[in-house]
Amino acid sequence: MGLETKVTDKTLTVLLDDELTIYTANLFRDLLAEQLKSITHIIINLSKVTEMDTAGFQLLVAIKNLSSKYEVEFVEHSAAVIDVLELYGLSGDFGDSVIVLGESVS
Amino acid sequence: MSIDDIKVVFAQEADELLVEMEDALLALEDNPSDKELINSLFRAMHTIKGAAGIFNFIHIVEFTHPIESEVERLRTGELLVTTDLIATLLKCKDHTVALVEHAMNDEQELTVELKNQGDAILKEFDFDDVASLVSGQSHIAGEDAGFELFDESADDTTSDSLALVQSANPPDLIERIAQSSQDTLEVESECWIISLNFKENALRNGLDPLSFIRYLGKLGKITNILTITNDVPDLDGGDFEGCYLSYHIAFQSDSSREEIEDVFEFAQDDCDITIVPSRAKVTEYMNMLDVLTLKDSERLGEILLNIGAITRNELDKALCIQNPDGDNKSTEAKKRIGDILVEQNIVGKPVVEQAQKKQQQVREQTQSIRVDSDKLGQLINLVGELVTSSAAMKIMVEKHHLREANDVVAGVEHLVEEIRDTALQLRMVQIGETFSRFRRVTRDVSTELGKKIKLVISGGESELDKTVVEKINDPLTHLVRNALDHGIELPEERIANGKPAEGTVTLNAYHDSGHIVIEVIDDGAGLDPERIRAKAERIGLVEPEQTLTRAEVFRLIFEAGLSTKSEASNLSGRGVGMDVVRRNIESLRGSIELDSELGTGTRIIINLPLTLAIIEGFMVGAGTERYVIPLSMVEECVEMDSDEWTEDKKQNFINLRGEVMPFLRLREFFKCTDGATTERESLVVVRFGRYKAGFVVDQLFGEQQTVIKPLGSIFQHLKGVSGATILGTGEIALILDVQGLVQIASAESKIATHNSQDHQELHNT
Repeated sequence: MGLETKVTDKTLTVLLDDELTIYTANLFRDLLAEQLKSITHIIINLSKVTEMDTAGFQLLVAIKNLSSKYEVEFVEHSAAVIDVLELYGLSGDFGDSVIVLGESVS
Repeated sequence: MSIDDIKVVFAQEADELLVEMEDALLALEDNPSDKELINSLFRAMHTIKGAAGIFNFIHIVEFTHPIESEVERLRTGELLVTTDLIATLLKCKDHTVALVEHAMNDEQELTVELKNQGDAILKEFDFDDVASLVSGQSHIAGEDAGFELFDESADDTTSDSLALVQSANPPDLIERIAQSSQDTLEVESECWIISLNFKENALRNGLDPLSFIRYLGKLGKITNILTITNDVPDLDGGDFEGCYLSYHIAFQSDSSREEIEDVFEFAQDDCDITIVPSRAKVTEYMNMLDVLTLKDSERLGEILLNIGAITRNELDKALCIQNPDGDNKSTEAKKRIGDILVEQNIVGKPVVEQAQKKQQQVREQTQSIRVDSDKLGQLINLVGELVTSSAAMKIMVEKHHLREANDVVAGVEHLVEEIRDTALQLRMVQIGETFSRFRRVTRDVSTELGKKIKLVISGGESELDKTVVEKINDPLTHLVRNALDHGIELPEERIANGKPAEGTVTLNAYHDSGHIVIEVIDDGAGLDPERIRAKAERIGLVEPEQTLTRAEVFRLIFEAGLSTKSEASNLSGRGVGMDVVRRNIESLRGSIELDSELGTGTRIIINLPLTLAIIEGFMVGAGTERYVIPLSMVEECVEMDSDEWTEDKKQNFINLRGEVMPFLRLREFFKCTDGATTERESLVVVRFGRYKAGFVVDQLFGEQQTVIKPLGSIFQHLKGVSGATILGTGEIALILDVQGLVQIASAESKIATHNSQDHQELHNT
């Protein structure tokens, strides 16, 4: 399953390594929910998201909404992610600087 | 979801965001370096600005944009959080609340007060760092909403800083930005607004909003998109296979409505779609309507379909709403198709109105000939004679058993009926004109008395006979003046009673089974039944021990004794010539009722026949005499020997299938004792407004076209008869005054129950 997690110094780093779609969204949710203990900082690495649909996007929204309790950061957006965020007019809301990086990479 | 609903959603969202912003600002005071708090500030301003842009709330965009830039500088660390800044931002938040409120009121222009306030707040920002401001602006100018700060209407908003910018920059830069602002404005007005609200099952059904929006992009340019994610559930326990998103999309395209609708064809079951045409498109529709040559009697839906303002699909849906059962009966209660289309937000109101106007124009063009009303009157008289003659012919043919002539007679009868209807239609006029005369009255009275009164008119398109309209004018003026003078209170008084300072008087008209109902409603002080009763007792209209229902008490208003001017003020001012009003209405074979709630207002309901000339009648016989009851008032006929009804002779009422109503035996009432009493009496149930009664008759003759001949003044005081008609045989039949008879009948049944003579007089006078 394409989810690598690592906890260092109260920081949970998650590497999503799969499609982020209706087929995986609820699975990722369960795997993530297990990890949300005794941490303060969540970093979601999106570099290996090969495909994202609206269900996946909603999962990202839900993760972002965790920011009331944790410090949430999205990094290394893949082209698939950027594509959806831009289409939804929300590219500014999921980590500005990374978008520029993502674009230059692709 | 209509555009207004979407606006409400916008207001709610803005509200939530602003509350969030305030919380964040207050928290920042303790925690000046908290990134998430600053982010939430930015989110509030950014989202409100974006959404306001979609709805073209320019003032909000203009105000929030510079704030957003400032907060952006906070985010990048260019600016530091200070208590002063927080205070200013709090003011910004309050002002945005005011602006949103203002925008909801549909006012285009900003009030001077609001504008000055906004300017003052924006000046509090520390703009001394000119270089960063300029670089910030020129960077933003390329963006969607970057123009506002330099828009002409806004340049005094930041006049100070702008002056600085101007001195520091070559003029062509300013020009370029101004130019781009023009373009942006243009773009906004050319955009369709498409709102999509996906249902929860959409994703599970294999529909992804992404694919539709992507596909939409092929038809044109998506200039702005607002994705509303508020309903996305919490990570913990949320089901992400459901869909919780809705979108507002500003879409620039030359495509037709049909083409845009087609994009979402497959989503129709799982998504609420609202397509609001661009302003450019609306203008295009308007222009098309202008040059369109309409065929006579083309339907509104077809016109709109022809110019592409609606699609066949949408028209079918609207027709379905208009006529859910698929039958074509009850035309009166139906909503107009244009109203439905506007309600469903398929077409804008101006387009529908324009189309209606066009329709009206065509009708007027083809039909409008000025005719002397005397000539019309003559025509109607002749038609009346024709009706009588054709009835006479029918009787002849039947008498001589001329079977071959039967078809011809039926044909003539049918034609005469059509001629009658058409001739009467000629004299039908809309009541709207009569209503709108009261606008001026309302305006004058309001200024004169220092009141604030709004006149609301509805149902102005209801038609009735010109002669009736002319005669209703005086009583209506009376009632409206009463409502204005005495009904609506002074603004201070209204506010003290927790009402809006502006009072409302409503004139409403609608058709109800061969009648027109006119309502005069005010939200004023209302009438006090206790005081009316006390007054009535004092002048001896009622006895103290009598029990009266609420409706009966209010009916006292129309009695002569209660209606002199000097007493009017004692009774919340009502009753100025109300007996005259009632007499006027009754002389038109109509009725008037009043209902009132102390403190909340008064409603007066006038019921009038549509015409005074020819009606469909129902002929009955009592003894040797024949009587005509207006068919529109006949509810049903029941045979005497039926088990369905029982008569209570003592108390003078009958029980028809459990329903109790007063009754009259016409033979006894009109004292037509001659002629053999038939064994088979029948009961004719009549309804007048809310009141029902039964007439016991000897014979039923059935439907009959009835030309109403007024009775001479000598018969003026005759009870229970409103006119006469000449039958085909040359005999005369009296037309029953159903309302009068119903009242007499109910009075008589009351006598039996209460044994009170006074009561009867009350009803009979």
